[in-house]
Amino acid sequence: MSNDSDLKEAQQAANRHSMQDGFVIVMVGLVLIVGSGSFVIPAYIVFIAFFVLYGPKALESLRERYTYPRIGYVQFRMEETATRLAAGIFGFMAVCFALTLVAMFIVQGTISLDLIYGWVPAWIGMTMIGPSVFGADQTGSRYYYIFGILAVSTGFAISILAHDLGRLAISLYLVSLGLVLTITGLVTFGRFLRKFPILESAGEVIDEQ
Amino acid sequence: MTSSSEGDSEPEIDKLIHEPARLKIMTQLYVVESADYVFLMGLLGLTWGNLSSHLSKLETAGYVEVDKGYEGKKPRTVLRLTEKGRDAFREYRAVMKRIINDLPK
Repeated sequence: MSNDSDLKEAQQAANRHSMQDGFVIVMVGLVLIVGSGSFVIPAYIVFIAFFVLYGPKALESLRERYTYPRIGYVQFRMEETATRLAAGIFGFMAVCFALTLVAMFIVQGTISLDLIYGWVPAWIGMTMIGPSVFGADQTGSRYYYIFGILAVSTGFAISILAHDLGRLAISLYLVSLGLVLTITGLVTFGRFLRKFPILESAGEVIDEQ
Repeated sequence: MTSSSEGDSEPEIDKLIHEPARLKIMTQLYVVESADYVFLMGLLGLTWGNLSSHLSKLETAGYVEVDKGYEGKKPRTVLRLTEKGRDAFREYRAVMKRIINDLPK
C-alpha cells in the first residue's frame, strides 16, 4: 500500500491508550537498576536472567489486575516486526560500541579495559536512542525523545566527569537512569489509577447479548 | 455514494464498513491482533450499546469474530477481525483510494 499513514496513526493511538499504565517504564527502570549491580558484582547477572524470564509474566499479571479492568484488554500483532526490531536494536548497539571505540582511540590514542569501562555510560546512552525512537514511532508521542536525549547527555556527562570511577561510573549511570524511569513510571501509574476507575461491567459484555 | 469519474465499472463500496463507527471499529481491529469491548469503547469513544450493535452487524457479516471466554474467574469477550474481515477492509481501502485518485484535479 502506498499510503498507510492512517493505519499507522490508528496503531499509535492503540499503543498510547494501552501504555497509559506506566508499567513498561517501571519495568525498563527496574531492569536498568538491577543491571547496574552486575557491573559491580558479576553474580548479579542472575537477577537480569530472572527479569528476562519472569518479567513479561509479571507484567502481564499486573496488567490483568490493574490495567485491563480499567482500560480494557488488547493484544498487538507481532508479525515479523519483532525479529526485525531485535536485529535493529542489536545492530544499533554494535554500531554505537564500534563508534565509541573509534572515538576513544582518536581522543585518547589507545584502548584499554579501563578506558572502555569509562566510556560505557556514553555507549549505553547512545544505544538508548534506539528504544527512544522506537517508543516515539510506536506511540506517536514525542516524550520518548526526552528519554533518549537525557540518556545520551547523562551518559556522556558521566563518562567525562566520572571517568576515573571505572565500573562504578557505569553502575552510577544505570542506577540514576533507572531511578528516573521507575519514578516516572510510578507517577504515571498513580495518575492512571486516578483517571481510570475500575469498570464494574468490564468483561461481562458477552452475557448481555 | 459509489461513483467513479472514469472506467467502465464503478467501484463498489462496502456499505457495511462505510458507516463511520463501523469504519473506526474495523480500522482499530485491523491494526491489533485482538481487543475487548472496554478497550474499543475507551479508544473510540463509543457507548456500550452503540458498540454492541455495530459489532453484531460485523459479526453477522463474518468480519468480526467474538470469543467469549474467561481469564481466571473474570469473563472476557475478545474481538478480532476474521480473514474475511481483513480482506474486506483491505478491499474497502483500495476502492476508496481508487475513487479519491479518480477525482478531477
